[in-house]
Amino acid sequence: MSGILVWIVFAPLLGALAVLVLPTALQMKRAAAAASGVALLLSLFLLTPYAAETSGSAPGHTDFRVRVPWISTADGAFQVQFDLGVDGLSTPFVILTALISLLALVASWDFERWPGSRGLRGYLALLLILETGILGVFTALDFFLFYIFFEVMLVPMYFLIGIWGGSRKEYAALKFFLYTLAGSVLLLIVMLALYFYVPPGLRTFDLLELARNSEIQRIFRNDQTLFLGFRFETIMFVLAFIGFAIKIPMVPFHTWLPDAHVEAPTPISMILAGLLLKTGGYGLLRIVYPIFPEAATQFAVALSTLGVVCILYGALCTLAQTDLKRLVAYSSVSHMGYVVLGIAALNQASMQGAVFQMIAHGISSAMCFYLVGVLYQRAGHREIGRFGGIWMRMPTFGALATIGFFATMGLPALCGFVGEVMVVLGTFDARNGALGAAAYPLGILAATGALFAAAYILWMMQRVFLGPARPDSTAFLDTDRREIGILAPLAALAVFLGVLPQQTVLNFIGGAVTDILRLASP
Amino acid sequence: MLPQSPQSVNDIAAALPFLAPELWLITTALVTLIVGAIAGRDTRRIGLIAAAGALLALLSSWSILSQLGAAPLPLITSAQPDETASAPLLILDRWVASFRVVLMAFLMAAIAVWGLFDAQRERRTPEFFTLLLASAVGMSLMASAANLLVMIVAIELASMPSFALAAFDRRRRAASEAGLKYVVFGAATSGFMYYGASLLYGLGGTLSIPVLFDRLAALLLAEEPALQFFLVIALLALLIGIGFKIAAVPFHFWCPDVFEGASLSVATWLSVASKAAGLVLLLRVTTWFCAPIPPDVAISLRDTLAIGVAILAIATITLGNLAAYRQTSIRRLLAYSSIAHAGYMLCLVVVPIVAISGGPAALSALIAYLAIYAVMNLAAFCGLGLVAADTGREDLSAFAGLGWRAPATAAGISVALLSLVGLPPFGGFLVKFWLIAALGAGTQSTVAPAAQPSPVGTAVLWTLVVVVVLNTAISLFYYARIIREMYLRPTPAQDGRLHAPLIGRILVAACGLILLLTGTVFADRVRRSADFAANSTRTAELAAGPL
Repeated sequence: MSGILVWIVFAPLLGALAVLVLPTALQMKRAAAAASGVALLLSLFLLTPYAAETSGSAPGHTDFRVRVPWISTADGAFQVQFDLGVDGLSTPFVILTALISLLALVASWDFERWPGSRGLRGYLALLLILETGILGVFTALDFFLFYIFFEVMLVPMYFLIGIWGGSRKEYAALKFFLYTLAGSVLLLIVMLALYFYVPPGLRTFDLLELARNSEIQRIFRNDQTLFLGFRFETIMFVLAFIGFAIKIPMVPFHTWLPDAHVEAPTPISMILAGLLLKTGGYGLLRIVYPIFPEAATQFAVALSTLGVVCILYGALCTLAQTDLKRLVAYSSVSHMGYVVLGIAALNQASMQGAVFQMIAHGISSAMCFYLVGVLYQRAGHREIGRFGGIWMRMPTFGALATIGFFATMGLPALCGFVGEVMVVLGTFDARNGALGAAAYPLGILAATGALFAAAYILWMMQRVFLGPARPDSTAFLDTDRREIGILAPLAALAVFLGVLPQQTVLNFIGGAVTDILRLASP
Repeated sequence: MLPQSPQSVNDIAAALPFLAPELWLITTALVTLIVGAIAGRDTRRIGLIAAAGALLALLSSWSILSQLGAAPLPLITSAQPDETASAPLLILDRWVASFRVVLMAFLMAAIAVWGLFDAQRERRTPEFFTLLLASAVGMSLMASAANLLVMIVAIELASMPSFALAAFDRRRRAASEAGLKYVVFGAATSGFMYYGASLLYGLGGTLSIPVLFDRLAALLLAEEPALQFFLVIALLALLIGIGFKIAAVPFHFWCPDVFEGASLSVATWLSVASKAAGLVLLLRVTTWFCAPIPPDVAISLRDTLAIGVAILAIATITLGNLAAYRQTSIRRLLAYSSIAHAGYMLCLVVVPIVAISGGPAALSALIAYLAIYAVMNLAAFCGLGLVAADTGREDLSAFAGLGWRAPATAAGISVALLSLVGLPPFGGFLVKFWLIAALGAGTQSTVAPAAQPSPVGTAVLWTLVVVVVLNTAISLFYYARIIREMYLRPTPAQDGRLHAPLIGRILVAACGLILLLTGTVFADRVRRSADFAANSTRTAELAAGPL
């Protein structure tokens, strides 16, 4: 069992190699789905340590750790470990990644019917390499290795948007590439500084060690430690936060998102919204907050404010959209604002809520993008104003769409509700903690985000699904078995997480969040 | 074949086995001329002779590297009357020997590129190879020079044939213009270099570089007045001479024109070899100069030099990357890219100036960077040759749709370009990472905790880290334009297979594979080889010493 993480992370890569040599399209698709399916099945084994109520695990505890030396210098001064491991924080993300990737592959089954489609082999191989990159990000415990996986995600995504995307694909792909590369080069600076500001004997890329070694932390937190004239911890926190905030994406670094999401083909939008954005939030929780807890406290009010700006600005932008896919894309900005707010508020409830929100948004946004894709495949356009009465034509689709969009909206008993409520409650709670007097106004403003969400979702539902059926939609077929096969698991999960949040997610992440908060307030 | 681990080799005859690669090249150069004169100017035959000579040089340089001991080996020690210490003309150590291996391997690659793309048009094959091989000899000697005169002769031996090579295709206007620009710039910067060298001689009273620097260190300890002023002028003048060889901004103007005017194989050769030799020489001379000076002496001199080199490097990197963005000619684009990369490597020169203990890390980083950079550039230029052979054009649009017409070739080019950007998981990322890691490591002394680098030096190094890293993002812009052209743009009308030499296509794909493997499974091996090369120099001894 010890090497299970290696198999999970590299199973898709093996699938990519198989895809490169197989002769027919069907075999390639099957090999890709099989590789991704193996990753999903294996990832379910990661749940076994949590069978026996171990949510309060020891600080810094990880399971399934694989740790072998990878790159080292002759004198041993420079050590990079191939270091994989999961804890309560990463386990849900690993399973989510394997699931969404598999569904995206199934969603790509009608590749031949896409407009101007060619190069299935490259498409599948890149998608599988992308999956390996994302899985690697969620499991790597060595900063260097994390960075490699973080960047491995970029190139496949550039090609996937740039080659198989919509009309403005070139622009969108390059914008995505540049924004996220700018973010990751900031991380590179942080990584080097974290390594070389420590005296030679203590130098390490081990993320857990960087956060927990008191000697290293003493150097980082010292006011005399300067980086180019700035206080070390402060400047490093800012650089690393921006690096991940671009990925989340947080206003004002969000402008790549609508372009990339809208231009990407449907399965890739599912992965972008469902998984790629989560690597940003995960990076904050895995790297930035544990290693720079003092700066995190110092910036709590400012960042919470930005989170609230994200929520409201994203919601207002969403209201103004006339393109269905753009609407879902902008709603992501708003929903990821809750993640920023929840993490920044530095509080047990808000942080758990933030993680829950990431998982829930991973499910609901992937589902919404696929719903939009199904509709686009039939109508050939995404103009909200040109739809109407879809529910009459496509009853099954309408039912599934209701679950998906209502989950996004945050209807109680669906997954979107739990995360948002916990973040807002946690924000109120933070008046005795990091936020102080700012807690009430921020909490109230954040709560209004849910109102906007109800407004844009219900208004869109009304225009697209209700009302009299349009004549041009007579030929629309209801969802076929493959489409139901993609939407049904997501809908089931949306309900499942909404009804049993404790058992599905919160139990796992409780211990990890406590751990991070303990570092913040020693 | 070699004498068993000698301490030093005094007379010329005994030193010859250690200079076998250079001797093979000289012999081959003469043989091509003679064969051309006697047996006719058959392009193919003479090309094969040259390739065989380069192969022999590669093999002998490899065998010398594997037999060298850890201690540097002084060659041809001249006993000058007033000198107490030994003053060799050349110093060979594992690092220089490793560079020779890289250089000879790249010479083979350049000859392969010539055979693939330039041989059909070539009329003066013997003369071409005489020039090419002579420049290789010069570059190889540049790396091991330990005497001011030898250094200058080696630089000129590398430069003169390069001027002629740039203008070798006399029928093309661009070639003549490139050659003229190259030679005028070369002459002017050589003048600066001679001036610097003569100043140094005047200050130290000897031509032997290590002895000279030991004396200068003693003078610095004695706080001789006005010494620092002249030293800074002398060293900066030398830096200008070498800056021309590596095309550092503002001595870079020749580079795009020469790359555009010269034949493809010459452009490939100059893009790596001339810069590599210049950087190896510069880093070695800098470590020699800085190592004997105790860390707490001449802080202001160190700071001045560090800031000077850093400004040069920052200008080179940034201007190279920004200028590359506007280019539509791929050759000019690659020329600016090579300027930027020389700038990255130039940053390493700051490390030994700021911190003695950082020396080995900088040497290791440079040799690894050069080896991977050679592979990346070979793939890029060879890919350009393939496209030019097929379409007859060398601009950006010639690459349109290549990803669909020749998937393996396009994949190889893409990997090389992404590697030039410095993206993982390719070799280019690892060596760039080691480069900035060497800069980072220079900010803290590992051997003498009492003698930490000065605050200015530390700030300069971290600034360089930030500049290099941010430029990675800038450089993506222009490399991605080629990738976009290959995959995202519609295929032109003459769709179908790429009509270009099969061997060239295999070469490009193989380069891509090498870059992928060195970035992942062989990463550790690359690092260890580079460390093996770097851990034998004078710096290592000094760093481990009582300083």
